[in-house]
Amino acid sequence: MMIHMHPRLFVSLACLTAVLALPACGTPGASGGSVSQPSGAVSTGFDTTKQVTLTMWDTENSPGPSKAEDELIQRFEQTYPNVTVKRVVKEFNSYMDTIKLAASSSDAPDVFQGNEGSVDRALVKAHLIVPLDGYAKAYGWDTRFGSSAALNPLRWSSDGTQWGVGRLWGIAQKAEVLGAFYNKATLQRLGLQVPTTFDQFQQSLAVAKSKGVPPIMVGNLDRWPMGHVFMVLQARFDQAASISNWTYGHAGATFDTAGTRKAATVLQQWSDKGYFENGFNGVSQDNATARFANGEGLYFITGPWSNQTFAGRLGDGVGFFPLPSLDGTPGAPTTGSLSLPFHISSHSQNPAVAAAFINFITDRNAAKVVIRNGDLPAANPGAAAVDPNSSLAAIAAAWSEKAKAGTLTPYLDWATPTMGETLFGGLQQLSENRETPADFAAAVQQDWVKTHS
Amino acid sequence: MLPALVVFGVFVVAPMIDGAWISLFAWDGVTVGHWVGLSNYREALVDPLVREAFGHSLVLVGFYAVLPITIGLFLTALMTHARVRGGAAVRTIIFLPQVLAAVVVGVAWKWLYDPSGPINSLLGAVGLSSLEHTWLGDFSTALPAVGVIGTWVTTGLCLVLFVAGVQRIPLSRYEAARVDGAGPVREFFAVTLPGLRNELAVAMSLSVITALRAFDIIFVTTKGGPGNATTVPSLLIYQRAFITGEVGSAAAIGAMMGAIILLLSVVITRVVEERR
Repeated sequence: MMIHMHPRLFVSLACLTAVLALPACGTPGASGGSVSQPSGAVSTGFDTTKQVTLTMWDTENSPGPSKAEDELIQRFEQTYPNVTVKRVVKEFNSYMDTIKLAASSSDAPDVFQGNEGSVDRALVKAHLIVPLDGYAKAYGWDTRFGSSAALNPLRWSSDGTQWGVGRLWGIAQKAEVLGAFYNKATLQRLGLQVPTTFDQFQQSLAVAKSKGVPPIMVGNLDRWPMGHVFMVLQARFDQAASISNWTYGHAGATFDTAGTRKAATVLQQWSDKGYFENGFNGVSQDNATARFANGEGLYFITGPWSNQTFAGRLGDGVGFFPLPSLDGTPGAPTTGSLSLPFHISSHSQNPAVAAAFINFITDRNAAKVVIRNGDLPAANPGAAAVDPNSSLAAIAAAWSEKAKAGTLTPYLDWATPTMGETLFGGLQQLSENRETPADFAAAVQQDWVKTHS
Repeated sequence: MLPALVVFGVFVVAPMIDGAWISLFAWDGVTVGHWVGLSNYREALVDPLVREAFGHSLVLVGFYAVLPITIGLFLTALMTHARVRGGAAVRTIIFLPQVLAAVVVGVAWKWLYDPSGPINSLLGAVGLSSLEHTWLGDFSTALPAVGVIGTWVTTGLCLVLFVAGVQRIPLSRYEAARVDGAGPVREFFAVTLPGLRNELAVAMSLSVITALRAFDIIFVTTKGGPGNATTVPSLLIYQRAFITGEVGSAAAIGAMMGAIILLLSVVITRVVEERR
């Protein structure tokens, strides 16, 4: 049809198209939105007569945690009838892929979860979120989460270049500590006790395998789950300080250490010996989680976000322990941190309401709601709130033990924007014996050098 | 025609130009980008991962285009030679995957391929447990396994195109062939295949393009894994644009992919389609 068109018409249309395209051809990203910064002193109050709608985005999509958010929103709306909260919830991967774009649009959500590491770095750098130091002081967030150091992963210099120092950009509702969930009935049937040293743990894997019970359930078709298995192993064999320095991008840090290679070797041995469930690289994590909740397998190495999925089916029949240390001493390092932080958008028309809202969903009363829905809150609600026989009690004990000892190590995929792809893809190679522990460590370090040199 | 061209200009040409423009910048998607000229292209050309991804695309062309066209032609030959009873029903069933959303297809096949899923159970039940596999998790089978899904989806389209095309071929040609004593094989190569040139060109263009920009099924099933065994260019574009904040690089790979697809379509149309 083009061919029969009169040439002059064609040329003029081409020009029209070019003109239409031109406005797009500025420097990409140059037209940032207006940024509102709270000026002067900040108080905890806001106008309770004006009708306000807050939009909130989060990725608390597991059944228990999701119910907790809905309940907290309902309570907030009851307390402040002039406020309506619109909630948008997405699965983790698609959430993290879209949140930066959503935050940069002019109708960005008022309140949303970010992620420590590259997502938060980008949000701070592009001035898409507001600093919260004023609100922190007014609402007492500095002391809410144990020590004020607990908030360090949420601090950045205003240009987003330095992490762990500077202003505060978010606060968390929950805490995470990785460890092994175990099926109590299966452990007993195998004639085993809860292991107290790393050797005992490995022996229990061997016993389970020999009796035909999948020792560790993991659905690594999703790529990230084996990352958490590796992280707790690395925390066992490498120095906690070395892991932290590396993740926070401190000069001279390296991933390629003897401890890391040892952890990678152990993971590869576990794979060789069949300690991970059959075909784990082809099983989805949802599938593996569901089958563990139905009583299959002995261990599941993951964090508190899965607790309700397990405890919902197994009740007190599921337990939890952090991976034991080599010599059995308590307080050994393990992966954990405050969970995904809540931020306030710099496009928000109602930052004071947004601040009151994130205060409301992270305080001690909110903590009780979080616990009732089977997850671990960041604010300490007092020991009485948790059933002492539950896996959640064990998770809470592990969290406070490690937090007090200062032995929580950060998630490795925070280190660079591409680290998730590099690390998780590498672990699939490692677990299938297509890469040596040394090559794996070197490849991960190469990714780090690209960002931090 | 003018309104159509304006829509085409606004929604197709303008974004294309914009994409090509962005490919000349180092841009993380949120802060201000800076000009880097052609270096995104230079880096993409020497990036082993990008090369590997295009290699995987080539394999997928086999599964998304070559296999479905072969199967489609074979079934068409069967159907023209003997009037198959319930032929319309067969066509409908084979065409059905085309109608399903790719995400649905991906989720269903992910379940079929599960280590304890139906495919392995079936193999075990007929005593072939030695063939049981972690289809999507094994480095050697993941790409073919994803490819087979593509074959399953595309075959219906090819078949429907060919069956429609055969009905345009004058019956007299078949009669002439039979009078000359041609068997079914001879008849296929002498009458059916030449009569289907235009349909073949359409089927090839569509299926090759589908293969090269394959994304949805891979994203749902393997996300490019295990390792990088099923990583394809469109997946890299997605990762770099939305996850790792390398929008310029993503745009450069997109431009390269677009150029390759355009080139192939022109070649296929020129070589295969009948001259008028």
